[in-house]
Amino acid sequence: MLDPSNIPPVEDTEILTRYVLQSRHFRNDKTARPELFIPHPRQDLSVTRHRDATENELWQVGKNVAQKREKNLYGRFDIQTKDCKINPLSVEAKPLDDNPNHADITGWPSSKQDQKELALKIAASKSISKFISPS
Amino acid sequence: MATSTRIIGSSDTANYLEKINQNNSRYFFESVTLGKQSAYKDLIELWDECKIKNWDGYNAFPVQEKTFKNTWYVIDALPLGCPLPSFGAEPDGHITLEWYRHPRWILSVSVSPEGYLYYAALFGDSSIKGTDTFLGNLSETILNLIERINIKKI
Repeated sequence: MLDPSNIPPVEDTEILTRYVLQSRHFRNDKTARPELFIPHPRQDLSVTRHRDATENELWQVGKNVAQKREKNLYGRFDIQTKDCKINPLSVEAKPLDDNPNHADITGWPSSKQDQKELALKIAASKSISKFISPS
Repeated sequence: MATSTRIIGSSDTANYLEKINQNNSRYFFESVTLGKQSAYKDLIELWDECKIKNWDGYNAFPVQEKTFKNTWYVIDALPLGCPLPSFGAEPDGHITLEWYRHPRWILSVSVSPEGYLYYAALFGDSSIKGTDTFLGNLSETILNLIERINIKKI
């Protein structure tokens, strides 16, 4: 994981993970539903950076998130940072005590129709993975 | 040899025809409802899952009964033969109806408790979005978008 005392800004080529805690957030064909990327009630959307993290560490973060929220961890989707930076969105490092790799997709518009359009585009981006089950 | 029947108006005949007409209408309505039964069932399942707070693990708002009912009426308003959507929910408690062929060929409509329909669609590299007020009928715009999703050849 990243060194909490030295968190670099998020680069466009970095891979980000969005954990799936709800079975309705992915389809039978293992693609992501856009609802996974709607940022409410927070104004930002939480993701975890792959940078300097092992596969085990990434899953452990997901398990911690699920445990804290008393939910099942169904899996995750990986996506390249540049595909989340659709105007007006940006990606900012936001380390947490228990997850120095935490980042936020920020800059969401307040209009619902605009949020939906962005969520659709992220879920359809070229770099997004198929649904990944926990190892 | 072809024959033709001429119905002479009488109140008994008129009543008889009216009764047949009513039966046909009821049969037609039941057929339409039956065709949508899977959608109503999915909607009920969704509401059961999402009517509690934090149903998504990210502090989502619960789906309200008003939203559930509005979505039910939206399904009612879909014309006969219209493809049925799949359902989802958003963290602000809206229910989503999704017509999907591919991640880049998709229409998503969010139903709010106030009766607004927020929609966004992707057709390849182009996108369309908007907001409608639902007053019992779906707008031509949304019906055209559903049709456009459906006609894509994969």
